[in-house]
Amino acid sequence: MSTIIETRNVHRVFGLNGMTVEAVRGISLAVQAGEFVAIVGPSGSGKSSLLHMLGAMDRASQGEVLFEGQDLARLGDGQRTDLRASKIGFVFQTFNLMPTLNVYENIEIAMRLGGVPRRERRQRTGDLLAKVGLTQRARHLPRHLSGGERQRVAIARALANRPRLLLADEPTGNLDSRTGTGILELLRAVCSQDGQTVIIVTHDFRAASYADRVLVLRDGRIRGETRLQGDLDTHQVLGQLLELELG
Amino acid sequence: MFAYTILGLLARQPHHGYDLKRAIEQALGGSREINFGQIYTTLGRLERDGLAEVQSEADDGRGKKTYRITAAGRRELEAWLDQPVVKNESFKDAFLVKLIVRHLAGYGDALAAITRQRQAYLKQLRGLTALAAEKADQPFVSLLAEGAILHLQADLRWLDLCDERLESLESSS
Repeated sequence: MSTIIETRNVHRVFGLNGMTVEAVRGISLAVQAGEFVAIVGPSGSGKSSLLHMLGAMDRASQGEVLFEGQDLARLGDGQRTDLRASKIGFVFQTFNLMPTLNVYENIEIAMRLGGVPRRERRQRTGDLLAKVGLTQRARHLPRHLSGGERQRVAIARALANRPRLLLADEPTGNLDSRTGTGILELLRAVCSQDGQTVIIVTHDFRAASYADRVLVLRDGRIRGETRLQGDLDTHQVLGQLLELELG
Repeated sequence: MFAYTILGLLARQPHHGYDLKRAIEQALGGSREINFGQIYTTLGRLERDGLAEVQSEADDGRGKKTYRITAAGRRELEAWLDQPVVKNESFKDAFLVKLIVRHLAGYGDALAAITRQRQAYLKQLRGLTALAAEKADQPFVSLLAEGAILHLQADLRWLDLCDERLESLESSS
């Protein structure tokens, strides 16, 4: 496996009313192509700042962020924009859909910006709608969709240009637990079936439990790392639960 | 607990042992086999305490008995159902005991212990989440799984708190 993204002792300092806040304090990590990684921590732990640096949306104050071996600090703004458009998909907690465009158009516009020819755009948008289960909603405006459906559109849009890396900020943050489970299963399928790399940040341990690897952040540092590969036998899990319950 | 499950089934209608076994297994999502021994031991105890009685005995020579609840059994069941539950047992935390002993013994490195515990909880959480999704159509089984998930989420948050508090404890000593 090859490393898709890596940070080396990365820091991020914000200046606020003459005070400085160090949101990220020396994080080194490496994510392999095809991995599903969850970065979990309470608010203020630096996880969103880290995600923005991984997604080339923010620059490190110190240290390096390498995407496919290339130091992002050496790229100009134009190159960073190109990288984001072609290789990185980003799912925002607040979905960030275009309110006046319907579901189909919200997905297709990302391809237009990526220079995908018309015929292929139509084909790929159809495939993505099927993948996220929204074929029947193609002509609806975002305001007529539920939270879970909007999140699905946001994921389809993020996948539009077949990014090597998909980043999601609190993908279940605004959803009830059942809808959230559907989204997490979708992300896991994106990762296992299509071989895309997925990194989510979340404060929700349930969401984190879907990942292959969980990094726990606190005060801008990694405090723990856990591998979770493989599925458990649900029959056995239920058996153990009932054993306790019935005594 | 098991005795009340059987009393509950008898309160609806008389049953013989095999019916009880099947009804309980069905309520448990078919995931667990109940043995007859447990059922007959419990029925024997209920009969001894006057909470259930034999209604009839089949004359097929195999002695298949049908049991029914008594008036005292019904009062006992209803009193138990109406009594609110006080949480005590579930506050017990075996990992906290290990953290305390680790500290008393002077071993330190609570972080490594916390990290291992977090891994164990996360793996359990992953299994329970899969279970809750798989049994979404079975209300009681999925409630059981969702309850365990919420507990584990709280346990995982609490591990973060352990990490935070013990880090300052270890650095100040």
